[in-house]
Amino acid sequence: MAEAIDTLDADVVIVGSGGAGLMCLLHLARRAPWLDVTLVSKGAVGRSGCTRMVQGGYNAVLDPRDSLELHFADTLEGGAYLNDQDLAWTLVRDAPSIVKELEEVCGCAFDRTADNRLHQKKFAGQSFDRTVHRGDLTGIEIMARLRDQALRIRPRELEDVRALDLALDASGEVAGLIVLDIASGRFAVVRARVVVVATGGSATMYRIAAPAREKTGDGIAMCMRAGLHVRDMEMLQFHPTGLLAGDSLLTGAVLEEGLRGAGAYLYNGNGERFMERYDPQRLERSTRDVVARSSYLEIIEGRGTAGGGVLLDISHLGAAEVERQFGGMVSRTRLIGRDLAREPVEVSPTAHFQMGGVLIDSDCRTTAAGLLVAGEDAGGAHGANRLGGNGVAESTVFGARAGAAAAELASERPLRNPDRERVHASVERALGALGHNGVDPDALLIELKDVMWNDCGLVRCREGLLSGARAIEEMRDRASSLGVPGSREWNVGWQKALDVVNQLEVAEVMVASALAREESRGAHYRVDHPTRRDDEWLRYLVASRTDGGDLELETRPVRLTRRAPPTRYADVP
Amino acid sequence: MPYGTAAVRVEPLAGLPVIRDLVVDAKPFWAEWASVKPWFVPAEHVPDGAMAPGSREAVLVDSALGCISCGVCHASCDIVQVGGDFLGPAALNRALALVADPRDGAADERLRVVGGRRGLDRCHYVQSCGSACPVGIDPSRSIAALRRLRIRSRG
Repeated sequence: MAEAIDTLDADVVIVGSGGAGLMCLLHLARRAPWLDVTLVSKGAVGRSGCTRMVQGGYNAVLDPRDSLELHFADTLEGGAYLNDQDLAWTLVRDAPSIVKELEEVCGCAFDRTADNRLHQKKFAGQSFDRTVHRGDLTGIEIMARLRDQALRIRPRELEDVRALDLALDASGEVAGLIVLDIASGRFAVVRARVVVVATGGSATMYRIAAPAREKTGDGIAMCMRAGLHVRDMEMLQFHPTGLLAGDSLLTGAVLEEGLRGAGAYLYNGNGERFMERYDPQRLERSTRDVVARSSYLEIIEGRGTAGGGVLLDISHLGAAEVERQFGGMVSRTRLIGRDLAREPVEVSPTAHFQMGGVLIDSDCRTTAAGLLVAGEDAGGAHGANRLGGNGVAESTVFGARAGAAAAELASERPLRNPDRERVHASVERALGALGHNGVDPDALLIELKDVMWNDCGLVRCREGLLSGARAIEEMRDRASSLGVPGSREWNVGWQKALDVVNQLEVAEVMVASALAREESRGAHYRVDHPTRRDDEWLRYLVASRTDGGDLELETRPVRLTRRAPPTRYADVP
Repeated sequence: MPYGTAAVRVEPLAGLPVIRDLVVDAKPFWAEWASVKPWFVPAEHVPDGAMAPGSREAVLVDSALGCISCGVCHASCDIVQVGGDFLGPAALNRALALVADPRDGAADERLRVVGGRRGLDRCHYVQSCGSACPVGIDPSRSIAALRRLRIRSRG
């Protein structure tokens, strides 16, 4: 019997309700309030995704002594010059007006100085203190206020609804979105003039990971299934200080970068301040990639703690001061019976942010007409490594730009009829795992997390990546036999089965890209090619799938349109 | 929870319709939240030095911010539990954060809503909301502050 599939129409459909999705909605409603907008969110609107988890804050040039050029140079230095310079410049240029909009239009309460200016704190890898924040839990305030704006705008909200695939018409043009209502288990096609993808990245596929668990690379996976190109997929950022809390879900949760900015020390299991050996100048205030890799090397070389981590210690500032500046972090450690204000806390590098993603231009347009991508699903702005404080800036800046672009596009593009065969193929694929026993999605995910952690993690080599690639290929085979008993309604196991298929698809691209980049740059470190090679590798990797599903990789030169690396790293004497 | 606790009883959040297992339908919570006009409405004229750090208004607004809209205060509230037609602690706390903020321009309208039949006067100050809140907000204090502001606005 053919599956019943609901149909609904919208001018614009936005997938994802984090910072990018809701900022898109806000700007879309301002430019074109008459448009009919549908917001699809895998979890609760405004309470899903990672913008809400932002601790440290938001980089924006506001002080007359700071400059856009400095922020731009910091962003490129941090990104090891792999960045798309148009995207990085757009981020830096728009961030001041967007952070002001968050404050003055949305009412976000950021911390202020005694003379009532926005307070900007010190973050690693930056030449000026430019990180706007609300204490150490900035994202809650930003997302709560954006959620309130969405209550004013009142789009059609499809909550607890996941996007399965882009719907294309018979000629391959974007026609909308195929979705699954998690609560009822019913499928629907949302026909739309414009689709905005803003679902977030996929760092959840690592053993120790920070992101919200609903973020499983859905956007990147469905864009690739529709033939889009992605870049920089080997670039996955590890945050140096993830909490270690045993089997608790808090394991991997980030203790914010501002702690190191404020002077926290890192010790190995032997009580040595090991950053003295890796970066004697910047020590703990070195960039995320360096500190994370150093901690990892200490741990795998047997100098970690008994729990497989290192120790983060800020207690020398005094308990009262730590509680005042980092109340959110202190209470986070107290949840697991530790006390950051008074003692060292065990931490480990934690998979945190996907720099890579879909190729976009500075208005979030892709190579597919009618499809916009914003936030962590898009690649290029951060290059090989993201600066702390540039993440929420990216999602809100590009979310806003996607909103403006969608308003314009929606007036030009007609509704198209989704190709029924493609819709049914997507629905059948989703139904494949439901209602019978088979390969357990939880077990498959645990396996994937170990493979990615060991073979495509902080320190990579050719043999490990080849073995990882084989393991993932074999897991993708087994994924065709995933099985979850039970009914459709709120079937968490079934949702995990759909998640792990996407995670595996993205993992395959990440491993292939990491194998191809035979140098070390930013977050990507190859122990067999340990130096940065600007002579050969100022190039970015672009991946796509053929109609048959095979992976294709090519490299393209980075266009140094605004700034070239002041020092060229090369393997020549 | 005391150290060494061996068993913890877990139930769906009280005061909201249960969908399945531990899943509840949060729509009533959000409908109450939305009814206080929870979004910021920029005021046409903002007094100089408004919300200066340490000022009385900044301290008051600050005490009401940081809500993670988890609904625990709502679930802990006796008035909500008995099916009293009540906006609930979270929505009223949100209203206070805006009404007390001189940068916001819709205080009168919000005070009318929270002063209405489903609003402030339904609260009997049992104060379970404040002790239940996982992030240290005390909505009953916000409700008391709203009552004072309501009187002031009438005067």
